[in-house]
Amino acid sequence: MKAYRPAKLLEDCELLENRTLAPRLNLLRLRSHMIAPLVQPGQFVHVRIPLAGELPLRRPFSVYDVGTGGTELFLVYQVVGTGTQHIQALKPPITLNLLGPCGRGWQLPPAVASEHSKGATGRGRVLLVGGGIGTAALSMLARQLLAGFTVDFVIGTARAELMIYKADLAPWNGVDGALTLHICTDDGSLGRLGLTTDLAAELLRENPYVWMASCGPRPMLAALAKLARTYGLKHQVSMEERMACGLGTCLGCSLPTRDGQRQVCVDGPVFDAEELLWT
Amino acid sequence: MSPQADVRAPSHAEIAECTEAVCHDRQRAPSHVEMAVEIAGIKMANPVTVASGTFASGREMAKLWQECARAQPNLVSISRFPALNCLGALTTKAITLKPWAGNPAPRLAETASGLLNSIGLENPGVEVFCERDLPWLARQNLPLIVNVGGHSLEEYAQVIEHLERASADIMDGQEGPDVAVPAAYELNISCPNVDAGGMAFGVDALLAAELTRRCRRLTRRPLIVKLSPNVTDITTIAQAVQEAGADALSLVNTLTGMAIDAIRRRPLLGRGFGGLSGSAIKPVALYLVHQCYRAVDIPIIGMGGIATGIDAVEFLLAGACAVAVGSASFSDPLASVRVIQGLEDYCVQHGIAAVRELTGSLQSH
Repeated sequence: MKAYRPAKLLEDCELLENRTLAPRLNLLRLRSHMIAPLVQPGQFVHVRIPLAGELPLRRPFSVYDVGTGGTELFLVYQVVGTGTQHIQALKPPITLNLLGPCGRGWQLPPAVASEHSKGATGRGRVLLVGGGIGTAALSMLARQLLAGFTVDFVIGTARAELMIYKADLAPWNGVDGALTLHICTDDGSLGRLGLTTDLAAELLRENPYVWMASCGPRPMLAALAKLARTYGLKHQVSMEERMACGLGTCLGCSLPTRDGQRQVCVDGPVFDAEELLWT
Repeated sequence: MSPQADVRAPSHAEIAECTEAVCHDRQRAPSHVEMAVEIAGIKMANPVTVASGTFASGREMAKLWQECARAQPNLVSISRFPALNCLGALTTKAITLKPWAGNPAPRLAETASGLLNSIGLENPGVEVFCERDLPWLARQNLPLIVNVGGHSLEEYAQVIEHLERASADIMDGQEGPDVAVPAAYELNISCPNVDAGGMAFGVDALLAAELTRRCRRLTRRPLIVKLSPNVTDITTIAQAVQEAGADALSLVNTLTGMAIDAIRRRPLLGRGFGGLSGSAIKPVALYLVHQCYRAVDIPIIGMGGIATGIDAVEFLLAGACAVAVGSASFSDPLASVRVIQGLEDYCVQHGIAAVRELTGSLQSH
């Protein structure tokens, strides 16, 4: 009999660590026996802020990683307003109520790549592009893809000090040519000076890819969608929208698509770029 | 006050209280409190329903509750209430004649203890609702209240006509759902998020009465009219729809409001303004329920910021016969279940034999 796998659950998760990684960028580490083992790359958890009476909306955070035998969740979040300021001030011992795993994650490309797009190692080549905090949604995916693909991972941040992702991915960088990091910053303080979209355009010119995934600011995603279209490349994007329920009931996070309105919280956050209306 | 001063970690007592609420003893002894109420002929197992638009058609919540119950037999409450029919009634999101796409993003903004929304009644239209949701809802064995919206008198009427036909088909084709489907209609004449219709009907006593009369002729089911708080005197509208044949009132819909991003100098909502809900509006809602309770004879379903059993008690004391849990379900998908339990606990603690005794039993100073 097939094991019963729930789609999503509510769980009170013990806060293990809440650490500042860079200005306004924090990492939450939570013990989660029920939600963590269910998480697929690209999914998110909906975090209830203690004192929900005053701050009634949950905050959606994408899962950066699942650790320690699948019982710990790592969430990277940006401190942008009152809610995330409040979360930033939380310290153990405390539990946070999580709803998750929410939404549909990345739909991985077919394992067998076409001949013309195989990389140096004879495996299909994929392109990941992360802008700022959006990179967090791609991190688990990058490591999962390593099993069958050659991965080019473009990561852009505003400044060097915000490039928190590089160190975590460093152990895989360059090993057997499986993962190559392409770093850029807006001010040139680390890696290339410039935008992720410039780097992605160059890579697309130089290499044949079988698949592309991106997460970041909407103008970046729109530009990448246009690029991918010119190469006829299958492209998935992870979208962000204000949401209340995370369940598909409130319709706060509706996005217009070619197929009518879709909800970021249940139909996404990952969409085929071609499904979305970018205007 | 420094910016950090209001960012306070919860105390251990608060954490303990929260955990206790979640891990409520599933072996609760059955109480002898009579929780059932009857509103305009709708027989509810308890006085708690959900506010339109916060629960969709119930499928998502029902699935989550079931999955939580299976995965965590010790969590809750849900093992005692495994299904949707732990609710006194289910109230759907507004259904309109044609599919509505709703308003541009962002549609949500959090305000102090409140939620501002400008969803705009996005829904797939009555045809899809009848095909996809109604047969499923008919099997859930609880009273169903279908919320009806529209741009014009004619649209409201056509939605009801469509639902009447669909209901007849379901009742014919199925071996008897225990409860008539739908059990009642709730006329949404109070949504601030649509341009034509919606709240326009709810802020004018003559129009509200005309719409009520028109719909009254189309159905024998109870008609609940959901009123807007955005009026000078809600009692004149309440009296007008009562005279026009309304069987009950839902009070209140959201308060029109606005939130502004001072840095970007723009409204936070794509539409510019929206409807405020959540505990921020509870005092306003309580007052309006109390006003209407004294002005009309038909029963009132109270709503606006209900998140706990005590909140529900307050609405009953103010004059409501039943209550609806709204945006609290977004923060806690089990909020409605907890309200039912909290209400029952209150009755036990205060020696109330039947919950209906609470209605209007507010004492004066």
